[in-house]
Amino acid sequence: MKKMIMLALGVFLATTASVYADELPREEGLPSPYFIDEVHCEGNHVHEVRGGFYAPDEVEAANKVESHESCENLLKAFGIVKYSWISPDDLERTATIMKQSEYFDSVELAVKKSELQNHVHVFLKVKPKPQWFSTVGNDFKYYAGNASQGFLINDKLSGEISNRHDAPSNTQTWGISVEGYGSSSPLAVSPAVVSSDDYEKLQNRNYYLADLSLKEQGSVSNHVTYDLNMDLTSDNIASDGSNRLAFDMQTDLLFTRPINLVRGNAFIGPALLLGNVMPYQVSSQNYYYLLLPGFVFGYDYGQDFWNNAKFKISYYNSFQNNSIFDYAFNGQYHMGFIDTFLIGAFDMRLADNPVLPQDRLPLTGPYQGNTYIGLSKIYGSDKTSRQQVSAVVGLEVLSYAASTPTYEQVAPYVGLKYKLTNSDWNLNLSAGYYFQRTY
Amino acid sequence: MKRLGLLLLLGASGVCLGAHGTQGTLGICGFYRDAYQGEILKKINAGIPFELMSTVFEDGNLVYKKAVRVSLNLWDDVVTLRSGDQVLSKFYLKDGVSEVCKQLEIEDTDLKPGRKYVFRILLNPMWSERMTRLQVTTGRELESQHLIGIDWKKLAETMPSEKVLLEKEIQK
Repeated sequence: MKKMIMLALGVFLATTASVYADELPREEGLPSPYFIDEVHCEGNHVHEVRGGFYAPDEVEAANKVESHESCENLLKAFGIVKYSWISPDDLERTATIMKQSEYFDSVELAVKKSELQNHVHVFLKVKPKPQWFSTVGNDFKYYAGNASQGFLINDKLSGEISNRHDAPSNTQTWGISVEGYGSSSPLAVSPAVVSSDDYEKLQNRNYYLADLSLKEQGSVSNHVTYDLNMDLTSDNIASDGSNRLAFDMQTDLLFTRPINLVRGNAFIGPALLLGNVMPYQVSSQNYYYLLLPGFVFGYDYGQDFWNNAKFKISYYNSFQNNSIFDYAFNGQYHMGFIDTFLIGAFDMRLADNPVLPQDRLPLTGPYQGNTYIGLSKIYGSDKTSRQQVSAVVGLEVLSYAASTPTYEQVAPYVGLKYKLTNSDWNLNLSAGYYFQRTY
Repeated sequence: MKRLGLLLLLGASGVCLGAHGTQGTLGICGFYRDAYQGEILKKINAGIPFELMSTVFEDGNLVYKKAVRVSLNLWDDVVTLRSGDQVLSKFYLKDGVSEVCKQLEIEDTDLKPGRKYVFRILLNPMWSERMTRLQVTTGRELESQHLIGIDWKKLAETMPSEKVLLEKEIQK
């Protein structure tokens, strides 16, 4: 019996010792993921329910629901979803992203254990930045024509204001731009090489293009986002100077996925382009609409203020002889000495049959493109103020007709760009000197 | 025995209270206590892993750095310090004040006599190894939606961080 007791005691002690010894090494390797039982927020934007017909306690209850939904949506935008698993590594990543977010002045993220093993509550305390964010820009171009053409000046003034109340899960941006063209004479293009319709439009030397826009960008779920762009455009590009109005809407529903191997983000999804163009005096001859289903895909790598590369391909086809193919690429690469980047871009649009007024000319089977390469330097290092100055050389190409070979205008250019980024607003300025006219 | 060990440890920490440690170190344990009580303990208790980096600057340039990753097991209050995949140390949270500083300690053998240096403890430094580990480099979902705006500019030069927890001038 004594031996048995001694043995039992020995086993007990050995077990206790091993448990104690194992207690620390048990946490070896990566910690187990946490299951999120509940989320709590403080300081986030909430759509408050006002009094009116409701009793104060009902208003209070409704506001609690609103607050909780707002909290869930805010965390969801950063990848923290209630009733799901998350690893401590992902929490660290999310906390880092949130702290660097341009939506907040300060962020505190914490987890506390819940009743069950590996179940946690997430606590977020934020101090949001101002609700409104604006961008102002001006783009000036001077096209030097030959003796028979004369010069052409183009200036585009634009402004945008974004509502970040529901950001980052949803952001609306209202924009306005006014663009004016003025030239001493029409572009000397032979009528023989362009369609009569195109030629008419080239005769208008001075014209404007005004645009009102609404962009909405939001997330449907962790990996599904949408981009909605609506434009109301007015112009008098026609040779007789008559005005017309156009409305178009482009919506992209995107499935996005981080590609960890190359540290980027890929996206793909269906898209829809809807357009409606009419002269102010509506006539059946000049009125037309567009309905083009399509798809987009692309890839983003890097950061705006560091090495980055982005490309996006969009293709729309109405299956009735209307199609648009867009290709856009831009990127910058750090040159190895402080804050100097090699920058470049290539944009191209191929279109069959009439497209949107923003394209200025009814492009009948042609293309237009722009490419540049240059050097860029960043000034200012903090989050609240950064400036980027760039000098570029490039080519602008515009073709007018579907004839073979396609008639095209190619204009080499040099340009300067300036970008100022503050916490509340952006300023974008650019100026270009084009050695030939394309319009 | 354990208490004796703790007493010995505290004693050793006490020796570190001078300008330098006794064995050719900076003696961080002697002057980092306020930073631990004020910020580091709060961060550990928040339950989210984070990084601390000991740094030495000379004329504004980073000349030495040493980073540790701190994580807490919420269910047994055990703190783990790692460097990369290597576990440097494990201890109970109550022992944190004496254990964390050991891993942040810096040998002063590389520092030149007579020169002035600035020692800093950085919270969550924005250095390449950490950014790569966390994969904080995606574009569309982060920068383009203003979810992120990292100060990349002088990354290599001044080592930006979430916060400087401690700053002290030192001279060997």
